[in-house]
Amino acid sequence: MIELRNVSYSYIGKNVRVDAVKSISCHFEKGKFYALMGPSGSGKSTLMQLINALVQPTQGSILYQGKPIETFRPNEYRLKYVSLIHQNFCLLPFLNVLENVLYPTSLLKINKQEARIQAIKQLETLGLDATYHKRMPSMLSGGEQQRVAIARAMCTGAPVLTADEPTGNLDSENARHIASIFSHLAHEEKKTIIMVTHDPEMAKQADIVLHLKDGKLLLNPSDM
Amino acid sequence: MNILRYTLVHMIRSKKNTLISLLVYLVIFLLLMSFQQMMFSRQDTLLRMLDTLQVQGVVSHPGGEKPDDLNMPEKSYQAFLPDGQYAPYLSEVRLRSAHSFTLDDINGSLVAITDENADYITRYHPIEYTDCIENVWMSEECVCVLTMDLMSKIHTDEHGDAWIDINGMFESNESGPEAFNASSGTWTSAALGIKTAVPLSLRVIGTVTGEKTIFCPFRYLQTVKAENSNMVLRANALSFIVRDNDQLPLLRDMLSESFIAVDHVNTSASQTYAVLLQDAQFLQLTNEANRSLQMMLFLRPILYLAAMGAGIMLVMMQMRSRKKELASIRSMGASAFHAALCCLLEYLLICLPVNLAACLIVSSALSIFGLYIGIAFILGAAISILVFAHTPLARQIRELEE
Ligand SMILES: Nc1ncnc2c1ncn2[C@@H]1O[C@H](COP(=O)(O)OP(=O)(O)OP(=O)(O)O)[C@@H](O)[C@H]1O
Ligand SMILES: [Mg+2]
Repeated sequence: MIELRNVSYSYIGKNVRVDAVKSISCHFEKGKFYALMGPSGSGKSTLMQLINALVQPTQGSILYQGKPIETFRPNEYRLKYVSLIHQNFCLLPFLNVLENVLYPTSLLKINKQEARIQAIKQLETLGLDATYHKRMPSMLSGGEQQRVAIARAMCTGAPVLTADEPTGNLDSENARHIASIFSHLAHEEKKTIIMVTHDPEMAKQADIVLHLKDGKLLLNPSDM
Repeated sequence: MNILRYTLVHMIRSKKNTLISLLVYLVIFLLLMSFQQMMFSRQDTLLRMLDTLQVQGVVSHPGGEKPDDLNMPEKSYQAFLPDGQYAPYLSEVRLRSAHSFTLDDINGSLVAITDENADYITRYHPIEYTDCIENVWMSEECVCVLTMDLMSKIHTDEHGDAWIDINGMFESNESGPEAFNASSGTWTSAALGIKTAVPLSLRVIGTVTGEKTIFCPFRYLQTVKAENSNMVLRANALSFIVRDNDQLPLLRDMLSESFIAVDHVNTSASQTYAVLLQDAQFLQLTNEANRSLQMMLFLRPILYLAAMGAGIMLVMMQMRSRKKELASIRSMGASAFHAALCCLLEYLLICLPVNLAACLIVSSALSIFGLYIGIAFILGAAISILVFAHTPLARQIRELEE
């Protein structure tokens, strides 16, 4: 699905140069749930930004289904292929739950009625029934908000879902719930999930756990 | 959800922000508009004053002296009369041609005029007309207005009209014109010795106080002159009102070709008269109007800049709360342009009703100015929004997570 080939990234400031990601090669496959772990400053967020095409690698290349991601239009890439989930949900505060979920589909030329049915189904599988549709984000708990955000990311049918510390603002029970949702999405709906987390409990639910340290991928986690 | 719906929903659901934007714009708009209105109305008053100001011109002798005793030959004054060269530029020509008349044992003055105000007598002693055509003084009617003391000399015809028969005494071709003597600096009187008498029969249309004076239309005397080749009609006083002040410079140029300036003495036979255009007040007003126009031209860009600055400031302020939202929609896959457009549309929707209302309420000139304020404001907002939209998404998202 997504392949990284010798990807490096450096933040280049005036007098400083931070090599945040150093020559990483790996492959994210369809229908798998990946957890990305590592100490603070190890380059996890940077790697996610690379996968999301928010920054371009200073070296190496990233391929989406064999095609270099530079060949995609960045907006389209995020809209159709690789969705993003944020730590603090980032729901649009002036739209209700259903409108929030439907928002990305409005950027696509797809049938509104169909999108609506999809969105309602998506919310349903995440445990949010019709009583939630008209609620504003401010009237939801953190866990509920994150589930809405996941439904929103799923709604455009993007095959890859990336999440940078999606449970960072949630309690452990909600976090577990989110992780099980991810696991379900990977196995039942054949999505590729890439999640950054600090929580080993969360990582346990993933199919594959990748460890990062000083911008490098550790092959042997015991090296940590 | 298209951009318009998104914007409308945002505006309706974030009432506070929308109201603040609207209020800020309204205040800026009204402030600048009233300022502009002030300048406009001042300009308007000045222009109206300029329009209604009557610029008078007076013909005199070269030194500016004796404007009441010009003794002006026909070739000099006829350019002022209808069909003359200057006629299109003049609204009123006040020509007075004074002669004498005899009637039995009475010697009186026969004054030919082209305008009721051409002679001071008619100005201070109102005339009571019986039926006569409008603007009788510019006509060729053989009519007259006479002083009360001549009433005893009139006779009535079968229609009941009053008539008076006189002998008009006119200068003849043989008498020489008045001339300026350069060495003594004085005017030598015309040789008045030779006169030609022409019998005239005039219908009396009005009376005036005074003594032994008869007023008649100058053009009537011209028709009499056409039949008496020996008769000379000179103008004793000539003044006029300029028809259209805009044409004043043109008229001035034309006049200066044939007449000398008032402070300039020229005794050559063809240039013995000066025309004094009393346009000092007009010029002063024109200056003032020009200055206020320049001021407007100078101030206007400043007003636009102010509107632009307001747009920039307002958006900067509101961007703080919208940054997160716009970064979110961009991270979902909306382009930077799309995000910027959503934002800009909102300010457009705030400007539009205000400007529209202004268009309906105020004059067109002002509403055009209002339109420019709106454009400047939107431009300011656009600058702010574009600066924001230009920020790399990676950085926006990093800020989002904090
Ligand atoms: N904008 C930036 N400019 C310069 N250096 C940066 C910038 N952002 C991150 N870095 C550096 O790059 C390295 C990797 O940062 P990154 O944010 O990827 O870490 P992380 O693994 O996500 O950490 P955390 O777990 O705390 O979120 C760090 O050393 C950080 O200081
Ligand atoms: Mg991070």
